Amino acid sequence: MSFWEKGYNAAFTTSFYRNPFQHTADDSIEKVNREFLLRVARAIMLTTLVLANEP
Amino acid sequence: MGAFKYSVNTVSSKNILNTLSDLTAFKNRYTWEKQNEVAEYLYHKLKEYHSLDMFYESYEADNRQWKNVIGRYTGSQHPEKVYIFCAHYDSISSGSTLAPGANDNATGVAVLLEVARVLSETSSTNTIEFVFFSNEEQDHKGSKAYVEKLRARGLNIEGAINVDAIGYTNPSVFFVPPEVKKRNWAYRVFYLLNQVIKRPILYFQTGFKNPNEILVLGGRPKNRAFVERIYSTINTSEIDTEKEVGPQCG
Repeated sequence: MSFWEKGYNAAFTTSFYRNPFQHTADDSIEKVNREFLLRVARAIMLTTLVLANEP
Repeated sequence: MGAFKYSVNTVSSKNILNTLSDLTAFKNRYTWEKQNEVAEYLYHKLKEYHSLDMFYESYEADNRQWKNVIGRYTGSQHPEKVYIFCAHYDSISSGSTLAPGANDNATGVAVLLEVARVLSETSSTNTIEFVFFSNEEQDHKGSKAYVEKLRARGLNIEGAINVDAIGYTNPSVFFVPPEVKKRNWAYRVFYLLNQVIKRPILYFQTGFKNPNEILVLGGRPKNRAFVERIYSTINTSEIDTEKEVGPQCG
């Protein structure tokens, strides 16, 4: 990440494996795991709220 | 979770999927023309959230002006304390002009748009900046340009979280209960991640309630304390999705 190069605290979130459709014309909505995506979305929402309101 | 539970549960799968549909409809998000169109789309989506300050940040590359899209909630008590949530909005495809980039990275963009929407309905004591980068697939030019200007802006950056390709899992590969096998695949993932990132990293994984669904959270060793804070928040979350999501795809 570009943030690391400049010495900032930074984290990344991603799915484990790069999937077989990565960087192909087949990286379509049908390949997205919707339940997992919503779970991750809510985890990121919670993280945002915690950081937004910490003292 | 406690006080934040209501807000977390208002994150809408429908909104996220609508954005995924819009972004993949661009067909590709690689060329200058297409990336400009997407930047405008993102700007206008974020503009709907009235407590958000919106702006483009432009930079020059290859004799063109490219855009990062930025939306900022200014903290009510500690505006100088800033957290950055970012995702790249461009896409790429090998051997094809069609690059829908649903997982990489319409998922990250769609999720952050939805997080911004929900945050606009709550309060924030610190400043949260949402940044959507162009040209990640072209040598990270967008994020490099953004970070280059950060110090000049004089902000106190507490940390940044990059959200990239978060909609794909392959459970059958990873559900290996015996301890010895866990060590083996953990080592394998560590090796692969280092191949991808090409620099020393640390990583954590969370399976939420379902150990077959794994999200990787990583960072540099020197950022360990920050990464652990994020991990402890995510990993202890009780996140219910059953009522809103239909049959699983992928």
